Amino acid sequence: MMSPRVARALGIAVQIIVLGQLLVIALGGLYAASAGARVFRYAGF
Amino acid sequence: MSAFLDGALRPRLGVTLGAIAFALVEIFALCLVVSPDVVARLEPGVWARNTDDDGAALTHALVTAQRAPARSSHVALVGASSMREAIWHIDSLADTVAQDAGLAQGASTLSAFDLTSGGQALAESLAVLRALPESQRGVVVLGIGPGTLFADRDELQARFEHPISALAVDDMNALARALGMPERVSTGIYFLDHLQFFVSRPQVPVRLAVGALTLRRHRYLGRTPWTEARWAERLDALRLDFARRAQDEALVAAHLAALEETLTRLARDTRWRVILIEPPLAPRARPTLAEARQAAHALIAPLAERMDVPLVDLDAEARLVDEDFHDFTHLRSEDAMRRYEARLAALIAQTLDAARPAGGQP
Repeated sequence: MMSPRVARALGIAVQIIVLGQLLVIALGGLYAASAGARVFRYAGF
Repeated sequence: MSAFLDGALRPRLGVTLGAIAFALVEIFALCLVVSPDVVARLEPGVWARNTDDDGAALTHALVTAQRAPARSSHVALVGASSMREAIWHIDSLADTVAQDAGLAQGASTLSAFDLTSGGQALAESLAVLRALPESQRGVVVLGIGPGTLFADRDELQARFEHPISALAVDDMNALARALGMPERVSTGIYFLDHLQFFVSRPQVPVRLAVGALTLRRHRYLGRTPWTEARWAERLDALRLDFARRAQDEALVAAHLAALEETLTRLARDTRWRVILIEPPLAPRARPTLAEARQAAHALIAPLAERMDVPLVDLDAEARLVDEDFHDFTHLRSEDAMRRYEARLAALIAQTLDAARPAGGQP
């Protein structure tokens, strides 16, 4: 059985990873929006 | 369990700082890990947003071409979608070239790269040409006509500001200076230099996990030809659009100067031979677009002659007829693509043969 201390540490690690990943996604999204990054879609004729 | 949930859910200053540190480490790791080698090693469909993502296809094809062994000969096809749709497949083109040039078929003697992309601007084509490795020997076919020589300044600016492919920033910046377009910051770090390319593809980790997309090569295959109403609506609009864009003489002159400089560099520094191709044009569109076509030809032909580069129109040799086209420039039938491909292969083989050192392999 995992000790409460280890379980709490694991929980904190999970929170750090999830928040960190969300931060990266948010930063990427903000950059993409501000730079107007987009994939050019050829409209064809 | 409650201790785990307490750790995972309760806000803490340390966790916030840890998350910021995690994000910074991840961004740093991406800067270290994402490189042209990684792009080349993974399938093109990993980088694709959808099955028609030409930006991903071109980026992957170019970094793959740059890593091809110098011992074999190479064929590269560069240009807009009209050139992509003009041939059946880059591999069948390579096989026919190998056959015509008397080479054993297979990647060990001849490798071919499709470096076309929908709506590819001439500046992007030139950046691709400049990225071809000096150590390689081969033939590069560049589709060029009024559609690319005469550019819309605003559209071109958007292509520089929001590149769809990860072409070398230094080459793009050199062309931007020549064409009066905005330059981008060059950091020398691949991931940062092409940040727009990568952040607009957040699905890459998912593709890595569940599998790459299969990219679609032909967009017009089997589609019905334009209706009479569509021809009536579009043809004159195209004529007017070409005429409007041709009036930007400064931009046209800058394009020609950049083309000449690129061809000069290729001839001086590399063993790549260039063939300039005027993209397919439906017979019924020729009278209306003749003025634009002739204006572009009149500007490109003297340059091609000066540079000793062939400028050819293969439509007649490929016996293209109106029924072969979906619209004014895109082929719609496999038969027409194969006829065009055969003529192009013969021309490439001839050029490879002319480049063959006496008694040596091409």
